[in-house]
Amino acid sequence: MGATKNMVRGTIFTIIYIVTTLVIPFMTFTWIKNLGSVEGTDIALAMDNARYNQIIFWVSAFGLIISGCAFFAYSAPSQSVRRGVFALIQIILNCLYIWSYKFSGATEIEFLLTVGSNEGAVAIDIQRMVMLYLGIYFLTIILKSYDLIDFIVNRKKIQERRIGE
Amino acid sequence: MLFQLDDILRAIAYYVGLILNFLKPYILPVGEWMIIWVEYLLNFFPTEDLTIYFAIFIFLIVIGAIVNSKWPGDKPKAIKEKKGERIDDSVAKCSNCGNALGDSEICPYCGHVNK
Repeated sequence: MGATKNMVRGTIFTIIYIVTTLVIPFMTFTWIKNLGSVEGTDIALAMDNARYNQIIFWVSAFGLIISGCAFFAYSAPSQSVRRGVFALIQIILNCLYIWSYKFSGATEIEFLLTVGSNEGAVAIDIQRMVMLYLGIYFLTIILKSYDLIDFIVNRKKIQERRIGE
Repeated sequence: MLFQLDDILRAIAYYVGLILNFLKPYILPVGEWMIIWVEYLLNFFPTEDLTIYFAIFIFLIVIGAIVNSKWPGDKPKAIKEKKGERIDDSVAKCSNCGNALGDSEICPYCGHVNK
C-alpha cells in the first residue's frame, strides 16, 4: 500500500515539474520567438533562431533531469535519506537551470527606440537579479544539506517513529 | 476586482523589492560565487543532443520505481507481527470479562479473582 501511495505522489510531482520546467518555458520562449515588434513602434521583441534553439536545448535538458529527480525524491518515504539526497541534487540542478536562462538573452534585454528622426536604446541587465536569486537559492542548499544530515544522524529515531505510528 | 488586484500586485512588488534591497549586500556576493561554480559545472554537460538527458530521465524513473517497490518505507512485517503478538498474547486477561489484567490477579473491571 505504501509503495503505491509513494508512486502516485512521485508521479504527481513529476507532472508538476514537467509542466513548470519544460512545458511553460517552452511555450513562453516559442511565443517570444514568434513575436514581431510592438504595435505602432519599432521595438523588436522577436528572438533569433540560434538563441531560441540554445535555450530550448538547456530548458529541455535540465527540465528532464529535474523531473526525473523529482520522481525519485517525492516517491521516497518522508524523512528518508534517499529523499534528502535527491532533494539536494534537485536544488543544485535548479541552480544550473536558472543560470541556463542567460543563454536565452533574457538576462540582457536591449530595446532600440525610434521616435521620429531620433533614435535611442534602452538596455536592461537583469543578470544581477539572477545573481540575487541564486544567492537565495544558496540558502535553500544549506537548508537541504541540514535536512540530509538530520536524516542521516537521526535515522534510527526516524525509523522507530515510523514503526511506532 | 481586476483593478483591485493591480493594487495588491503593486504592494507585493513593493515589499518584495524592499526585502530584496535589504538582503542585496549579503546575498549578491553569494550569488556571484554561485555563478562561478555553476558555470564550471555547465562545461561538463553535453551540448550535442538530448538523448543522454532522456536516458537519464527514464533511468531515474525506472530506478525510482524499483527502489520504491523494494523499500517503500512501510513497517517491516516481522515488527508488525511481533507488535500484534505483544498485545494479544503476552498480556494476561481476565477469564470472566476478557479485560487486560496487568500485574494484578483481580480484574479492575469486573472484580473477578483470576488464579
